[in-house]
Amino acid sequence: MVVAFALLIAFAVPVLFLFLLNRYDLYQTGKFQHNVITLACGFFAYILAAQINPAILNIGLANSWDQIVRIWAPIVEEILKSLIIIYLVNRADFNYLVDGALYGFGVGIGFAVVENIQYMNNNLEIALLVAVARVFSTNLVHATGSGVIGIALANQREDKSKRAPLIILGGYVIAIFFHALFNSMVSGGIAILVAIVYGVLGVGLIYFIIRRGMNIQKQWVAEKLDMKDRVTQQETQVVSNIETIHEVLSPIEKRFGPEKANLVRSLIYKQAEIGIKRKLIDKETSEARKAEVHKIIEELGDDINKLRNQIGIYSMMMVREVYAGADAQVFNLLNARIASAGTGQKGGGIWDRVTEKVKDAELQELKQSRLNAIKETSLFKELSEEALNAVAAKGFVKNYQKDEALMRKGDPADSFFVILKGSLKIVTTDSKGDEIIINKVDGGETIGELALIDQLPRSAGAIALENVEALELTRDAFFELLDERLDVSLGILRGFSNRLRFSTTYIEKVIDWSQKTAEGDYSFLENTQPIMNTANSNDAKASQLLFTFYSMVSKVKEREEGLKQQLEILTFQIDQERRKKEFEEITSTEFYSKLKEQAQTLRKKRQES
Amino acid sequence: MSNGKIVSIHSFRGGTGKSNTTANLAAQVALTGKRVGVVDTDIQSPGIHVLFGLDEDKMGKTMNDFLHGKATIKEIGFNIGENTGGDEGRAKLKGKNLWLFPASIRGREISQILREGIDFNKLNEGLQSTISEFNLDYLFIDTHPGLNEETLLSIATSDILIIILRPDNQDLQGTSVTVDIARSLDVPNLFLLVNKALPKYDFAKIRDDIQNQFNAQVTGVLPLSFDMAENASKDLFSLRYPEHEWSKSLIGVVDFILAAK
Repeated sequence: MVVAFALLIAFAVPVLFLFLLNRYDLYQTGKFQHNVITLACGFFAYILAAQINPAILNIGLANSWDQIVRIWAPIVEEILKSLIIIYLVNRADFNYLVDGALYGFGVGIGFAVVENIQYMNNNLEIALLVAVARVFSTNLVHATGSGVIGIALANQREDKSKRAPLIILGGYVIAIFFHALFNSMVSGGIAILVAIVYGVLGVGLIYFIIRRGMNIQKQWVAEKLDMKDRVTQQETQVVSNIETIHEVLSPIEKRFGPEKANLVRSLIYKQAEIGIKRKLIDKETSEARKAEVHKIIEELGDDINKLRNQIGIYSMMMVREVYAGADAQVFNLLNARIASAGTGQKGGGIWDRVTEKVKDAELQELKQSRLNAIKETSLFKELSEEALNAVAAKGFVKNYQKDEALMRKGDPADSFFVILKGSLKIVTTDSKGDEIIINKVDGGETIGELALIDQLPRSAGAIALENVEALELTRDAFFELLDERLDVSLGILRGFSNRLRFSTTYIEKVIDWSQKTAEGDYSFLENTQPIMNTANSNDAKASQLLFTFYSMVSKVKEREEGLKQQLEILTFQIDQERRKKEFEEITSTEFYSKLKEQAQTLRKKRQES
Repeated sequence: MSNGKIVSIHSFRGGTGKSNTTANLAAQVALTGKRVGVVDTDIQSPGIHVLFGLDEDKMGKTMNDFLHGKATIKEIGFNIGENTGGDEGRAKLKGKNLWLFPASIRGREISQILREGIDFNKLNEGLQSTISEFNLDYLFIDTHPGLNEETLLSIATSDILIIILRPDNQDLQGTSVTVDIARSLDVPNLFLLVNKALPKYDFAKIRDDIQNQFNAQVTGVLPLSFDMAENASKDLFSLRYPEHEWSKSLIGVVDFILAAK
């Protein structure tokens, strides 16, 4: 049981440690399979070392096992462990020194794990103690040693100068010295605690180097990510502030789930990797490897494109829902950064792309809504989608504010309108010059098209009742359309004939109204507005007739009501006979005659004065 | 002879708001800076003096005394501009030239006096001396309702006759006779003023109809106002609430008075 637990610690802790280190890799550029390979190679390195070390003693290169432990073992083991690092670091897919350090850690820990098991096997009674002590000392020392060599090798790869071999040599010397010192201390019988402190110090050193390396890496990213990779400055800002990636992604994750957030995260990481790769190409010495790196960059580019497509609509939503959301503190931060980065280059990058997508989608939506409005008209309802597009392309979309006139009575008729949005009133003036509303027109109706054909001035004005969006087709455009498109011409003809048939409805209506008026039933006046709207009232003559009739009946009704009201007021009609009689009664008196005389004299006097 | 004009306010029946209208019109004319006098002929029914804030105790010599030769007209005039009191509306009259000439007896008794001893010329002389003594521009006479001899006398001597009527049959009938009389007596300016019109009516139509009926100028159609009824007899409504519909219409009448020749 204890042994099993000890084994668990011996295995699990190093693996966990490695996992954490891997997580710490800023841009996640390290390949996990490489880490597994390094662990495995650590095992083999141990097995090899276990053969070589005794052999050295056997062939007499060392005097004692103690000498092996203190001097030869560090040399042999560090060299053996480094072999796999040399291979991985010089591969084309290698990125930067953090990878090197991680490879070193992997192989070191792999080595130490087997060694630990060996030690526990030899001291089964204190296996747990051995496990704990070695995990925090020997493991770390092996990891540090190989890590230093990994960093040195990575540095060498990026260094084209002559001092490259010196860097490698320096790495080995430091690693071996560090390892040897530890072995000497342990052989000398130092306390376990001191050994652990030594191991932790080593890891601290690696950590420091990695931190420094990451800052360099960030600079690379900022320097190298550019429009060639369709990465905008804004994105570069995000990428080089990769520590905040979880902040950037958390609102997205909250709203759209981890899957989508991960897609965006991958995209950002891949963009970062491209930045690093580009820098590596600059530093690359081998032409063959350069070509390989180029290939990797291309592959990354493909991946990114795939990711962009996968994000697609989602990213549009992201911008609509999250990016534009004032509540997301992170995005305020991001906005500030984007602002400080200046105007981004056009045409690429996730944010720009997202904006473009939104615009595209809105434009598409707008276009569709316009097409729908055109299709609603009786004139164009027979047209195919494609023909509708042709109509839309010929016209200009115009916007009118409330009370603005689209046309005035008497204007020359050189265009007609398809009302796309909003409603307007068709007005004329009566003999007194007062405005009479003869119709109301809504979206999906046309006005003024008959005038295009008969070429007479506008018979009525059209005034917007609210904000109106209308497609204006000039006479020229209209005839061009008829000329170019047989389908459009036919469609329009059908539209006209439909309306002609429809006109009979008006006539029936007028007959119906006439009968009702004759009976004194004016109730239809109140219900007329909806009738006007449901009936497609484009047919100018029919609707004119209808509305003349309508206004006539309205006036008849008004007059009738006026008469009723007048009767109410004039119930105080004067009884003229009584008036005359009373007047005579007063004026026939002597008093009055005298008074009248006196008054006349007075008035005359006043006038004179 | 003075240039001052005699303005008689008449109505065929009681309850037309005549006294109230007279007081408000006189006050409004005074506000324009004109020198104005108001002769009351009836203080038994809610008298015009109340509207001007004159206590009956304070009342000294009256028109009655003047007509009997017991007082000069100077002694009778009560200076409203110097006795405005604290009420908000009336306070606006402070310093204005407005005099009230109260009567102490019933209108009927006045007419008796007139019939017995004072003929038309005497009354006219009295009014004219009132105008000249106080150098008045306008002298308003709040006449008794109906067409009696007293009324006829005041109509005969008027430069301006304002007949107040309500828009109803009876008032219209009575007014028709008064209009005929006024024409017969050559009153130079005959104005009609409709009061207490129910707001539900079309005022413009009322004005047009009545104007057409009598072929006489309707100077205003004043609404029936409960606000005014409530305030009546306490203060001068149109001074206190000049923005009220009733007040605005009434102030419109002032222009006709000032424009009359």
